[in-house]
Order: sequence, then C-alpha cells, then structure tokens
Amino acid sequence: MLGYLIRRIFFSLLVLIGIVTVVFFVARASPQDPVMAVLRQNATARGQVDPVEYQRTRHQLGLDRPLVVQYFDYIGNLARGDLGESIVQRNRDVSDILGRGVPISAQVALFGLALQFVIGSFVGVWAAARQNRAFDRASMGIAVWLGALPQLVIGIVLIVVFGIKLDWLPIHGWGTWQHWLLPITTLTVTGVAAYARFSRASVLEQINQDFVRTAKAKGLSESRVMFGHVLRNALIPIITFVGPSLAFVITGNFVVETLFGVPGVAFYAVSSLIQNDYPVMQATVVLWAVAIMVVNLLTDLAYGLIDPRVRLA
Amino acid sequence: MAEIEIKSAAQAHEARADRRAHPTFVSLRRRAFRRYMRNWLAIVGAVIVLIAIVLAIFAPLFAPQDPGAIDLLNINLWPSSQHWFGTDASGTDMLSQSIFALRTSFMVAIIAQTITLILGVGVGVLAGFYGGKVDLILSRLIDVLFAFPAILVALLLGASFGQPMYERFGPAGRLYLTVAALSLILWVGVARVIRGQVLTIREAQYIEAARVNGARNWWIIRRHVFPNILGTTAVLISLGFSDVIALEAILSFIGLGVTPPTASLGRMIQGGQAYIDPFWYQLAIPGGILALLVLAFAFIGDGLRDALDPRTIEH
Repeated sequence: MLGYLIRRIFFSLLVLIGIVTVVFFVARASPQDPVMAVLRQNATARGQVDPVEYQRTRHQLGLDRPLVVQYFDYIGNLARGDLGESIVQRNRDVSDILGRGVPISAQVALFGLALQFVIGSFVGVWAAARQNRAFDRASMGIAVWLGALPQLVIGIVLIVVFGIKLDWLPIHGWGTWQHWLLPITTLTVTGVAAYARFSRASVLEQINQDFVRTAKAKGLSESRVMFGHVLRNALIPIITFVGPSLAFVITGNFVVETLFGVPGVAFYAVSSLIQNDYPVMQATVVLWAVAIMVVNLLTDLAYGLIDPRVRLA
Repeated sequence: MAEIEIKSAAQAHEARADRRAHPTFVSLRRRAFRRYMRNWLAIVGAVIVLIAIVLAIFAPLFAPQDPGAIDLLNINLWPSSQHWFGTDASGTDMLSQSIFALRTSFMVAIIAQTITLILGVGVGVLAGFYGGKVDLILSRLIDVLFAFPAILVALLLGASFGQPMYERFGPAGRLYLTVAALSLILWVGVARVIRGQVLTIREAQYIEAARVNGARNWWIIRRHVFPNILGTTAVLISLGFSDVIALEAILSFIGLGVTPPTASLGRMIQGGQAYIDPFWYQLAIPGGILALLVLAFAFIGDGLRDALDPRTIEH
C-alpha cells in the first residue's frame, strides 16, 4: 500500500508541475506586456511612457531576469502559496483578492461533489435493485432529461420559478442558508443525474455476475448479497467517477457564482476578466488544477483501499 | 488486383441476386435508418436541428430587425405580436438576436467538433491500435486532460490571449479563442472511447487474418478499424454538439466567450441578468432555446446509438 501511495503522490505532483509549467509558458507567450499594463494603471504614466520608468517597473516585476530564473521563481513562489501580484490593484497579492473567495468556492464545490455522489449513487443503486420497476423507469427517465440540460438552463429555471414566480428564495448574494439552496441545486442536478445513470449501470453489471448467483444460491439474504457482494464491486467504478465529475462541479461553480452572485473564486476571476487582470485569472487556473489533483489523488487512494488488486498492480 | 475486382463484382452480383430472391433483405444502412425513424424523440431532435440550421444560414432573411439595433423607446418590452420574443434593456429585438445567436452556436460547434473529430479519432486510433509506448504516453495525456474542464482552458487562453486576439481580429478573435479552448479539451472524451473500442477491435480474428495476408497497418485501419468505430464516432460527435453549444453559451455568459457585437445565447442571458426581476423572459427565452438545441442533439445522439449499435439489432 505504501509503495502505491508514494507512486500516486509522485505522479500527481508531476502532473501538477506540468500544468503549472503550461500555465507559466502560455502566460509568457502572450503578446500583452505586463509592464505596460501596470504603467497604464498609473495615472502619471498617461500619454508618454517614460523609458526610465518602464525599465524600473520591468525590474520591479522581475521581468528583466532570464526566463528560466523567472520560471523557477514562479514555481518556488507557488510552492510557498504566493500566487503573484495583481496588475490592476497594485501592491495587492492575487491570493489576497482570490483568498476571500477560496473558502466559499471550496465549500460549494465540496458540498456539491458530496451531494452528487451520495444522492446520485443512492438513486442509481436503488433503481438497479428494482430494475424495470416503477422507480427505476421514473428515475432514469428523469435522469436522462436532467442530465442533458446545461447547468445554466437549470439555474435560470430555478431562479424564475423559486426566486421570482413563487418568491420563496433569494436569487442573489450569499449569507443565510436560503442563499445556499438554489446555487447548490443548480450545481448538483446534472451531476446527480450522471451519477445515477452511471452507478445503475455499474450495479447492473455486477448483479449478473456468477458470484452473485452463487451468493444467492447459498441462501444469503437479499441485503447481504447487495451490500456484501454487489455494492463492494460496483463501488469501484462509481468512485473513479468522482474525478471526472469534479469537472462538472468546476464548470458549475463558474456558472453558479456568476448567475447567483456568490462571492467565490470564479466571481473574482470573472470580475478581473473585465479589467484584464490576467495574473488573477492564471492563479484561478492553478488553484483549480491543485483541487483537481488532490481530488484525483484521493479517489485513486480510495480506489486502492476498496480494490486490493489495484495496490499490487 | 484484377482478380480482386472480379471477385468483388461477383460478390456484388451475388448480393443483388440475394436481394431479389429475398425481398425482405434490408441493407444495414436502411435498417439503421428505419430504427432511427422509429424513435420519435430522435425525429423531433432532427427536426429541431434542421429548423435551427435553416434559421442560422438565412439569419438575415428571418430576423425581423438588426440584432444589434438599439431602440431606447422600446426597452424591456414583454413578448408581443410586435416583438415575438420581446426586447432587451437596450430595446433590441430578442427574436432577431436569437436567430443570429444560432449562427454563433453552430459556427463554434461545427468548427470545434471538426477538430474534435480529427484529433479524437486520430489519437484514439493511434493509442488503441499501436499500443505499447505510444499508448502509454497518449493515455496518460488523456487521463490528465480528461479531469481538466474546458472552462479552465478558456480562462487561461482568455487571460493570456483575449485582449491581443481582440485587438488583432476584432470580435472574431474571441470567437476563434472560444473554439480553440473548447477543441483543446473536448477531443479527449472522444479519444478515450475510441481507444477503448480499437483495443478490442485490434484483437479480432479478421484483423489477424488480414495481417497473415500481409496487410499493412494503414490498410487495416482504413478497411477494418474505421468502419467499426463509425457508429460510435457518429454518436459521440452528435452528443458532443450538445456539449459545445452549452459550453459556448456558458463561456459567453461568464464573459470568456464571444464579445459584442457577436450575438450569442450566453451573452443574451448575461445581458438580461440585471433585469431578471421582473423581466425574466430575457433569461428564459435564450435559456429555453439553449435547452431545445442541447436536448435536440442529445436525442439525435441517443437515436443514433440505438440505430447503429449492432448489439441491439434484432433479427
């Protein structure tokens, strides 16, 4: 198990460094000049750009050093949790700007991810256990439709119905528990549908296996067969689906935070978009990349815990 | 060579004779078509998409007004006989905007899906067919990218090239960037599935037979692998249209996608957001069109899956 653990962590770190490297070089490949962006922000630099001031700002930003030095500096800063400085709001760290959003986005994302997993796999397993009966048909019929709808559309429907027509829930802002309901629902509906279909298929695949028939023939109770034999095996693919389903959650986070005015990371990233404050946007990508790597690592480890074959491989 | 031609001519003749002798014989293609036509949702999907395509191509003919025209005397008008879809906060006719927005949706979707098709099938076949080191490297890449949502790529590209592309190409620059961001990620899903299929096809006996007969890799890929993955690819691409259209709307809604004056469903939603209470139709209309388009492609995809899957063909 330890060897497996070390291997997975090592691979995750490798991928993370790869992503950060891509982010760094894409940013450097950009034709926009950060020095000019900073000078443009300075009221004194309006009109003519003073070459001396240009050089000084360039030096301040550390852009006059060799690219390799800048790169390792960037990696080192990231490792220390320093995401760089905002270009628009001078002397403000990116982590300061995004920092307020991180706890909110993390809460929303984790909650959404957990809810998707729990509700989705519960519905899926329940439907599979009652294959072709009313619950199965009804839930899968709904899942096909809901799963196909974009989160943006689901959010609009929820706002119009519950926020405006019924006027039950707030549609903008963050604070009370009522503010949670619409964004979280918007975020999870698609994922729940996807999980339900996926886990149903996964359970059905196991139900027809020989060992399940043997277990039943031994006279084990229905629930023993289901929990001890079917679910234990069906859970493996369901858990691996957590990684890819984080992609829904991240996209959903952007949609939800913009649509409902939830002050998370995406909210600040989007507002920095208007001012073209690109260090903030790049930092957002890095933050989410870290989240993806951590979630993938955790699912891989959970995978290893449940399936003894994986550890040996 | 000549021998092969004679043989295939003979086979064709035989097939024709067979068809005459058995009037019930139906070609695979026709059978698939019949199966597709039995699925009424798939037909509805195809009809919606056809109507949308016609509207998008002839947008200037169908749109009653200029989709960018500002009319401050007629702002925030609810849908009526004058303005079927109402007007937005600058008095622009929302029906005209919607029709032109279809153009954007299809343009982005068609270009992105073409790139997805080429990259996805190419990489999938390469990894699945050649295996070994090629497969190892490509599948690692696929694994990593698969967990990476297109929206982050769009954010990264938007941050680094949004402004410069806009300065260079105008509004079209942002359209190109949107397409690039989407195609950079979406091919991965196709490649993953195709790779899996090719892995099983590769082990089939007819491939072994072809090899024994001295067939080259490329010939085997062309004659055996491509026809076998055709159905799956068609399904994936039509489902992919749903994803691309939804993602373009989301990106434009957030501000990462197309910019004014390009009409887009996402931009219409963004524009209506401030006026949602009480003018909720400004979000409901583009949202509804988006839902229709996305569901239509999803139904087509499902219909194709049922029609083309050889495992479900009844005898």
